[in-house]
Parts: sequence; C-alpha cells; structure tokens
Amino acid sequence: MDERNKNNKEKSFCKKPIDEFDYSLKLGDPGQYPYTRGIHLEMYKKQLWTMRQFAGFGSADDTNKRFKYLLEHGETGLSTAFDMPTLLGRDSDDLVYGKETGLCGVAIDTLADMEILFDGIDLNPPISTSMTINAPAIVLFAMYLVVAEKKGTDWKNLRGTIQNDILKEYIAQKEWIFPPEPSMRIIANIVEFCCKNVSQWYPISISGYHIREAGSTAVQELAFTLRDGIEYVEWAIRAGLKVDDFAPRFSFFFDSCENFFREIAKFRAARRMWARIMKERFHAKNEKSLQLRFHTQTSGLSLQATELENNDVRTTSQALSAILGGTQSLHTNSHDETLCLPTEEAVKIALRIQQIIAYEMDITGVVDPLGGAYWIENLTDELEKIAMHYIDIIDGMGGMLKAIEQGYPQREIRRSALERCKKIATGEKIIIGVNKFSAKEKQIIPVLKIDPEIRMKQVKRLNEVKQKRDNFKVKQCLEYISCVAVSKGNLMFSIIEAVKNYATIGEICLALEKVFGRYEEKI
Amino acid sequence: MERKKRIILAKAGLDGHDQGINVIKDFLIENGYEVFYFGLYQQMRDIAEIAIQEGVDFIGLSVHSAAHLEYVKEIFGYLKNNNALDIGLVVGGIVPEQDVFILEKEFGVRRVFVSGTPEANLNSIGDFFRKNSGRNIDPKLMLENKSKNNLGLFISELVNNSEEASGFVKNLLREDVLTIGITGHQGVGKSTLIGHLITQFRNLNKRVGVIAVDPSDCISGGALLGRDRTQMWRHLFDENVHIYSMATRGGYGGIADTTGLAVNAMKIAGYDIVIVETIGIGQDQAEVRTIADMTGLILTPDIGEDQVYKSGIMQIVDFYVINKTDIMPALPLEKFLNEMIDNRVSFSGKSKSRPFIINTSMVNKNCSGIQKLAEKILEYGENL
Repeated sequence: MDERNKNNKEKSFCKKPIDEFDYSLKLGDPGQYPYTRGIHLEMYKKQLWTMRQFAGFGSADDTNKRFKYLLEHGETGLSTAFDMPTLLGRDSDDLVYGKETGLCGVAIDTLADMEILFDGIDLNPPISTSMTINAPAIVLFAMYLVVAEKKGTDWKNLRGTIQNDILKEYIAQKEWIFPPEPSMRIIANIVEFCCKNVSQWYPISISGYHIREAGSTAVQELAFTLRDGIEYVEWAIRAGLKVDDFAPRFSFFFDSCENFFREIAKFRAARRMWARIMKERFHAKNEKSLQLRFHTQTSGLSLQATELENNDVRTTSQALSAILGGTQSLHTNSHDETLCLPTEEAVKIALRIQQIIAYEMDITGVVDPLGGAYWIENLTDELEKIAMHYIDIIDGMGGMLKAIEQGYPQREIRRSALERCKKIATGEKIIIGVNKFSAKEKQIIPVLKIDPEIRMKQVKRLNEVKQKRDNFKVKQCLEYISCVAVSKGNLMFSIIEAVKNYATIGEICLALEKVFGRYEEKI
Repeated sequence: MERKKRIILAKAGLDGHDQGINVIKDFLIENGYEVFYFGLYQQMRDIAEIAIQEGVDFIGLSVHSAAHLEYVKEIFGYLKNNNALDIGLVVGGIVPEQDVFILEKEFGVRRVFVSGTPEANLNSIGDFFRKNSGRNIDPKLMLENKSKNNLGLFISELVNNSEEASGFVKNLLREDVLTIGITGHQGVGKSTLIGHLITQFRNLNKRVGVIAVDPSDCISGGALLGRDRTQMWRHLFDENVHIYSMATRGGYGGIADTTGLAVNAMKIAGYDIVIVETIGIGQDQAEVRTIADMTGLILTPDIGEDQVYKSGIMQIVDFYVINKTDIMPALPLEKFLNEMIDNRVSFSGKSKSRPFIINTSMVNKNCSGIQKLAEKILEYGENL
C-alpha cells in the first residue's frame, strides 16, 4: 500500500506525452466530467482563488483588529481560528482548562464575543467567512447567523464555510466532544438547515489537512478524506435529503505538502475520484454535485523551527502546487508558525506569497498547465488506484464509523508518521537546515505575545454577560435543547434561540452532552 | 538484567496534536523502554501523582497549544511538594527559544525538544533517554520515610534487580498483611473488579497496595504500562492506596520475577492488604500462588463444563469470581464449579478449606456481589 519508494522503478522521462490515454475518459476539458483538469472552464482567468488567511488569538477585539489588518492588505476571505476551550465547547471560566483561554486562537464564550469579532465588517458578499470549528460547530454557526441577522444581512446572502468535519477529528485532529453517532446527526441537522435557509453557505469542509498533518501519506489523506465524504453523503441521504440538494454545498480541504508533483496529482485525482463516486455511487445528476471544490493550506508539518526564512520558500512552492492543482481558496502559512501564532509581519509576507503568484507570475491565464504530462498523469492514476483500494477496505469494514471504531485509519496514520520520523532521523528524508546543512546557531526571534491578562478580561466579560442576560430564559432554552436532542428534531433552531439569549458555548454543549454523552478514545 | 527506564508520556490540556507523542511512544517501546501513556486531555496533577507512585525516571510532556509554561509549572509545583524533583522533566512541541530558557532555568526541565530543529529527531531523543538517568536513588530512604515517592522509587529499584534494595525485603515475613492474587484471562474484568475491591477495603479502613503486572514486548523488551490503572483512577489521590504497574520482563507464569519483592516492599510501607493483578493468563500460568496468600480466578459465565475439569489454574485457586453476570446467568457455570470442587479429595490452597464462589456484575452502581466478595476474602484471610 505504500506509494513511495516506487519512483526508482519509473522512467525518468517519456518521449510521448502519455503512453496510452483516453482523454475524455480520464481528463475531459476543464469544467467537464470527470473534472480532472478543474471544475471551471476558465478557472483563475475568470476568478482568482480566495486568499484566506487563518487568524485568531487572544480576545475577540484582538482578532477583529487582525481581520481588519488582513482585509486592508488585500485578503479576500476571513478565516477564524478559535482557542482550545472554544474548540472543545468549554467556557473561559472552566476551572481546569480555562488557562488555555485565547492562547492559540480567539476565545468565544457567548454571542457578545462574536458581535465584537465581526464588528465593523460587512458580512455581505464578496466577503466570505470560514470558521474552523468542529465538535461545537452548531453553536458557533448559530452565533454567526444571529450576528448577521442583527447586522441586517440576509441569511440567503451569507457566504462561507464551517469546517464541521467530525470524522477527521476522531481520525487525526482529536478534538471531539460527543460520540460519533450523535455527532453525525448534528452535522446532518446543519446540512439540512443550510439547504433550506442559508443556501450560499458551505455547511461542511471535509478535511484531509489534519489527516496529513498527523503524519499520513498523500494517498492516505486522499483516501480517508473522500471516504469521510462518502460517509457524510450517506448520513444526509439517510436524514431524508436528496443528494442533488446538498452535495453542491459540500466542500473539501486539503494539505499541500513538500512533494511538488505528487501534490498536484493528488488534487487532480481527488476531483476525478469524487466526480465518479458521486455519479456512480450516489447517482447525482446536478453537475455541481459532481464537482469537488476545495480549500488548501500549505503544510505546517513541513515547516522548521531553524532558519525560519526558509519556511517562506517552502510555503511558496507548496502554494504553487495548490494553484497548479486548481484550488478554490488558499491559506499560506507564516514562517514563524513553528514557534508561535504568526506575528503581523510574518502573516503579511505569507499573504504576499499568494499575491506575487497571482499577479506577477503570469500563470493564471491557463488551466491545468501540467495536464497531459507523462509524470503528472502517471502519479494521478497511481494515487487514484491506491486510494480506491483504501476506500474498498473501509467499505469492507462497513463504513468509516466502523473503521474508526476499529482504529483502522488511526493506526495507518500512526504507522506512516513513525516511518516519516525514522526517515528524518536517519537522513533518508532530507530537511535543509535540520538534518542536512544544519543550522548551528539558535535563533531568538520576536514572537507574538498573547496578553497575559486575556483570561481575566475574558472571564470578566463573561460574568458581565451572565449578569445582564435573562437567566431564567437561558435555563429554559438549555432545557429545550436537551429535549430536542432526545427527539429526532433539528437542533439548529433551539440552539439559535439559546444563542440569542446569550447562553454560553459551555452551557449549550453541556445540555447536549447530557443526552449524547462524551466520546472516549481507545488507545 | 539491565536497568530499564520507565517513562510517563503525557499530552497537556486540551491540545489534540498527538502525532508526535504517539511516534515517541511507539519508538520508545520499540527500543525497550517501559512507557505509560493515558491519552489526551489529562490533568497535570494526575500525571505527576502517577509518576510519583510508579517511580518513573522521566515525565515527557508534549505541548502544541502555547500553554507549555502553565502546564509545566503545575507539574513542577506538584513534584516539588512531594520531594520528587529528581524525576526528569522533558518537554517537546512548539516552544519559542525565550520560553525554552524559562523552562530550563525556572522549572528545571532537563531538555526541551522543539519540533522542527535538528535536535528534535528520534535519534537524539533516543540518545537523551539512553544517556541520562533520572533519579537520586538511595533505597535506605524508604525505610526512613515511607512516602509514596520513596516507595515508588524503591519498587522501581527492586524491579531493576538492585541488590541493595532487594536485601532489605528478600527475607521479610509479615503475616499480618494479606496478599491476594487476582488472575484470569484477558478481558474478564480483573482491573475493574480490583478497583471496586479497593473501595470495599477502604470502607473498612484498610490500607491497600496494588501491583498490576503487564506483559513486556517479547522482542523489544519494552512495554506499555498502566492501562489497568484507568479502572482504578478514582483512588489516585487516596493517601492509603498505592498502585504500582510493572512489566513481566520475561518472568514466567503471568507475573514478573520481582513481583514478590515488590509485594514485600508494600508490606514494609505499611499496607494492610496487597493485591497482585497478573497479566491475562493461560491455563497453566499459576505462578501468582507462590507469592500470594490466596488466589482468585476471575471467570466469565460463558465458560463451558469441559473447561472446568481441566488441570492447571482451574484446579488450584482459593476462590472463583464469576464476573459479568449481566451478560449471561452465572448459574450453569456455578453448578459445574461446585460439582468439580465436590469431586476433589483435597484442596491445595493455604487454608486447605473449600474454595468459595462469588458472582459479580460491575455494570450498575451497586456492583452486585462485590461487598460479599470483600467480606469473604477477609474472612478467608482470618483463617490462614
């Protein structure tokens, strides 16, 4: 199953572009099934990818400032990073984990914080907002909707994405609250709600990024992500939705790692595989259902903590493979992220990388320029073949939930991660400045300092909100959430109501946990 | 036998980035270390307390959430209060250079492996653990001050075949301490049962020591330890309960060669009851009898009549527990066991009396049968 180490057996060049090849079967023109070359005919000629830098730290005020800074410098989409307590559905006054408030993302406890976060930012198009939130996604999404409502923005106009991909949490990122089944039901609720009420929104971003960053190979990232996608489609269908109603609103999120050509091939293979899966497995008719749209982030794992400037070079090449692979939006990492959350200076350079590629390199006029090249097509075929094999194995286990229960994807990733580390240790895998031409002197660079008072301030604001709000009403809302959780109803409405009344994220998650329980991982 | 190092690995706080720690865990076990790892979202005082009771050489902490100072401070404070600052603290993850300095100077961290630097690779990490030994060892201390820290360290010395340490306990006879061996196949619920037995004994104000044995990797000699502890977590901060996990290290019959010595150490430290939990055993592994005053075999109700009459462990224990009676009624097995016992001419246990049978179920809060089991064990112990 290992797709590496085979390179030696391959030809290093080929006289004909490709040996035997059925163009329309394997590629098709851009914008045509199976979309190997891209989902639009003109791609970047018509519209550039969205430049979307992941940002969030400290309090909502701090992050609001960073958002505005990025927009001023030409960013075209917002992307929110939440702090650990928020990601796990806890409040800033949590006795055990409160100390992590605001450290590696923005702290959100109630609607009040969310109002500050988007203060002075117009949520109408062209701005689109991405929120990297999973287990408590339903709560943060509800807050966003209420903020939009208060600003007078019609829900129908809202554009953006919530990550909302719980399967990869169990597999790789490991930030969960509830067990798999109720988590999948929450996701199905959100998808259903969006189809009817927030039709421009992407209710899920099926993510391979975290799988790859946990140490998987490219092919494992591809296979597990698409298999997760299949699982979500199945759940949504089971919830009574029609595939062509929701599938056009699914989006994906991939990693762009160091192996330049393989990554480009991975994006192409992903599009072709998803188109075929949707057509053959789910009989989707709408062409939007067959198109795989994705966001890309350059690889954090590939960045090093020595000679930080080199990281910008790594990021540049990874950004280029994402763009040659046809991404719809892109985050480029900042060079200091191996040490801290990015400083303003570093994040500006990261954004500039994208802008230089977009405006100086003259590559946006052509679609899939590498298509047809022997090496690219070979890699695309190979990745597809091995990934399909993985998908078959997981199908054989009875689906992704069963596979996760048996620890299959987790184990596969762990094995690859261990292999990768061993190769770095022996020098088989070369990393400049680390295990080759290694840097001798240590660098002390200015890092982003999080306000040490952040937790105190945040707890103070939380207490003020709790005093001002109608606590009886909040209690009612929370009880109602638990009731809906017991029934089969859609949780979205009850949570929007609770959020409007300034219930905290911790309170809402607890109301759900009372019914759903908490997930525990087997080791 | 060579000195083996025991290392507890932990992720701090809410951070879910466990790729690194999993790699290190697998790597260390492959290289013959004995490793504890309890998964995500652990609290630091739990980890520090376990490190103390288990007499580990190192605590390895992985942090990618920028909260390294907070969590290391917590561990440092706990170790300091318990005189255990000689446990080597190692940190890995995303740490800016300024903070590396603080960690080393203020909190005595031995080494910080910053990911993405030349030092943070498996070779250097392996070198570090090979070359450095953690602790200040003086076995005599245990005789003077029977703190958990000293006891844990002392047992670790025994497990490493220290002659000085074993000299103190080798010929010890303490008949007022009851040693109970708990054995049975994999997955019959030994650890959960022991967790509840501890509660029962604590209600009677007995001090309880537990030696939990886990298998060593046959090839590398390493081991993943402490999984049994998770069933006994609620006793972690009870000052009258001490739990120690050890690997078999090639020992025969479901325990390690040094398990008996460790039991003696617990006796010296003033525990009234010592429970030895074996690894999941096969039919002929009865070694625990040689170190325990009485031995219980934990069974599940689905065992057939033909198994009951087989020689080996089935024939020589002092009591049987039919656990998980919630899955299946215990009656058929109980009948077979009684018939088998009735057919015997003599009994091999220390008291020479008829073995007793108790049915238990751990699913509901009351844990049916557990109180009776505890009473019977003590009654049986009186007659020894």
